[in-house]
Formats: sequence, structure tokens, C-alpha cells
Amino acid sequence: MAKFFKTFANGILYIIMLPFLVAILALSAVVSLVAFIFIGLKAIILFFKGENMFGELPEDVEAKTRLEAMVRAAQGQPSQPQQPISQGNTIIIQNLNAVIAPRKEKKESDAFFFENEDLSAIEETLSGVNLLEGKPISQIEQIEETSIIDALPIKEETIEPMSEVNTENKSRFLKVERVEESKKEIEDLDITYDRNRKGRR
Amino acid sequence: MNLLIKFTENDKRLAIAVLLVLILVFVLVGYIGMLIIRVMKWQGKKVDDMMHDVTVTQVINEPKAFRRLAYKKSWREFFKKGWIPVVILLVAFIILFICESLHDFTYDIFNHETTGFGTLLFIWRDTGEKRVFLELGTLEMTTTINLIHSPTFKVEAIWSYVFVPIFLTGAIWYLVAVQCLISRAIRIEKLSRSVYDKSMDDVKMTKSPFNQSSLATPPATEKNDESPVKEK
Repeated sequence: MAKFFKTFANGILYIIMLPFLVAILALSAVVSLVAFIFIGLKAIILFFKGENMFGELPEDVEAKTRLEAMVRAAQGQPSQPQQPISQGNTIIIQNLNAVIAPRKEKKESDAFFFENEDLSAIEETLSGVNLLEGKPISQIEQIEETSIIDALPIKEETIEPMSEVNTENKSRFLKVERVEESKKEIEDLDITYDRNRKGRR
Repeated sequence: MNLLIKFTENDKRLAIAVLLVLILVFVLVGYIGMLIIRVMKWQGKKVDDMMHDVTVTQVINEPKAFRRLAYKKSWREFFKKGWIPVVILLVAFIILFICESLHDFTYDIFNHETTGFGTLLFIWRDTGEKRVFLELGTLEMTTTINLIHSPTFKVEAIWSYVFVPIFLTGAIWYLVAVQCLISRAIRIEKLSRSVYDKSMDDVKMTKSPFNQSSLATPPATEKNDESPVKEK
């Protein structure tokens, strides 16, 4: 019953307010018609300039990019590069340059491609590592042109376990000589401060 | 009170019936109003759809920017939805222009006798002749508004029969688009206040995670008094 009286009271209120509501609607219709003409003219001008007025706004593009990143993060995709694969006593590193290549300045377009003959092609972006359509690299016809790895030569090397490696190979990998040289340089370096002293400190 | 005593039983019944009809009209208007409000709320939900992603991803962080982007999108939406009724209205006016040019601009679409759409309608008008429309006992209610035209089909009014329905379709459609625009504007104002509202209702500083370290600090002992400053 209370609801019925409330509706009844609302009815009286709406009848009293009706002229004002109609006036607001009429005013809005006129204003929106003027705005409609302006928007139409602007759209026509932009169309002949080769632009699309009703395309995506920069805010929407940014939001879409952030959402994609959030979805990837939620899926828990790792952002570290793929570890070398161990097969028995042999460690196979395909494209060693890619693993040790220093990261350049971070850009969205930068992407690394790790190649394994038997495995799927992997794309590492800033937000994570993705499988490229789950196909072996040999089946993918075209790789993204922006990849900096395209410019690097692919080296396939077989590395034996460290216990079986001879000294020559070991020094080549670990660069022991270079480390000793740098140690010597540090020992020769005088770090004491003397105002009158000239030369290397 | 004397008036009620003078009423016969039949008159009283009629008075109650009139009162009930009035109440029914008010309730009906109330329901129509509530329906319109509900429809406007539903129309306003489009703003949520348009602004959800940019708000959740924090591309927009303040009410002013929210309003600016939301109004921009709302006007775009209005243009997308409004061009069809505008085209319909244009077509209607083109038809009217052709009709007028064929009749040397003397064709009257408001003439209810020969050429207007009013030929299909009942028309009442104030003619000055008094007539009784309700009798309650000795009380008589009179009016000077009389029926002057009943619906008749006229071949000369065919242009009006084409123009008026097209015009009304376009006009109502356009008004609905305007109503959507108003609904979105109301929703934008409401959201811009609520989404970035910094309410202190649920803030308890004793439970604040920033305050945990200070609360968890053990009381000063001899060992703890050895601060890094003393080591200098």
C-alpha cells in the first residue's frame, strides 16, 4: 500500500514537473542538433585529410596495451630467457649470441627469438616469453622483421661438461688470463690521495 | 458537506468513479515516470562500458580527465546513433519540399479539412458554444471545447500522409538519442564523483599496514639502545 501511495505521489510530482522536463528535452535537442552539425562537419574535414575521427582514442590504445600486459602477467608467463637444454652429458646452446647478448634500450618493438630445431619457436618480449603458434621454427615462414636476432649469425655449438673440458677450452670460456691481468692492474693502482702528486691514481 | 447531502446515491457513485479514475491516472503517470528513469539508467550504463578499461588500467586518474574523455566518447556515440534519424528527418523535409514546389508553396499540412494529416484525426476546438459534459446532481460541469472534425480520408492530403509518419519516426528516434545523451551525461557526473571518491569511512590507522612497523617495534632495551649514530 505504501508503495502504491509512493507511486501516486510520484505521479503528481511528474505531472507538475512535466513542463520543465519537456523544456529541458527540447533545449537539449536543439543544442545537440547544433553539436551534431559541428561534429559532422569536423568528421567530413578530417575524412578528406585522411584521418578517421571515430577511430580508437590514444587512451583506449594505452588501456588495451596495459590490459594485455596484465593478462600475460596473470597467466604467469616467465620473463627470463629460456635456459640451455641439457641432454645427457651434452649441453646444447643454440644461438649462443642470443643468450649472452646484452639487452639494448627497452622498446616494445624489441623481441628476441630463440631457435631450437626440435622445439617450438619462442618469442621473448618485455612482458614474457611466448610460444609462436606452438610450431617448430622450421614451419614458421616469416619471422618478425624487427627482431635484432635476425642480424646476428646463428651459431650451433656443442659444449662438453666442464670436468671433461681441457685447459685450453676452459681458459677460452672463462677468460682466466684476462681476469689475472685485471687483478694485476688493480694491485698496481695507488688509491692514496696526495695533492702534489701527478699521474695515475 | 451540504453539497454531498444534496447528491443522490447515483451521483455519489459517479463522484467516486471520477476520483478513482484520477488516482489511476496519477499512478499510471508515476509508473511511466519510473519506467523512463529505469530506461535512462540502462542507457547510462553505456558509460561504464566505454570507460571501464581506461579506468581500471589507470590510464585516467582524476575526475576532470574522466569527464573530458567520457563526454568526448558520449558525443561520438550520439553522432553514431543520431545520424540515422537525422537522415530520416532530411528525407521527410525533402518530400515536403517537393510537395510544396509542386503546389506553388500553397500546400498546407496543418489544414484538417482538405490537405493536412489532421483529416485522419478527431479534432476538438474552443468554439465558444457551452455544453454540459458532466452532471453531478444539481451541479453541472460545462465546457466550450467541442468536436469539430471526425476522421476522413482525403486524396489531396496524400503528401501529408507520407510526410508526417516519416517525420514523426525521425523526430522520436532523434529524441530518444537525445535522451540517451542526457542519461550518459548524468551517469558521467555521478561516476566522476564516485569512482575517485576518497572516503575515510573505512580507514583505521591502527590497522594500517604502514603503521605495523611502529606498532611491532619492541620496547627499548640496553642492547637496542646501541643505535648506528652512537657507533660514529
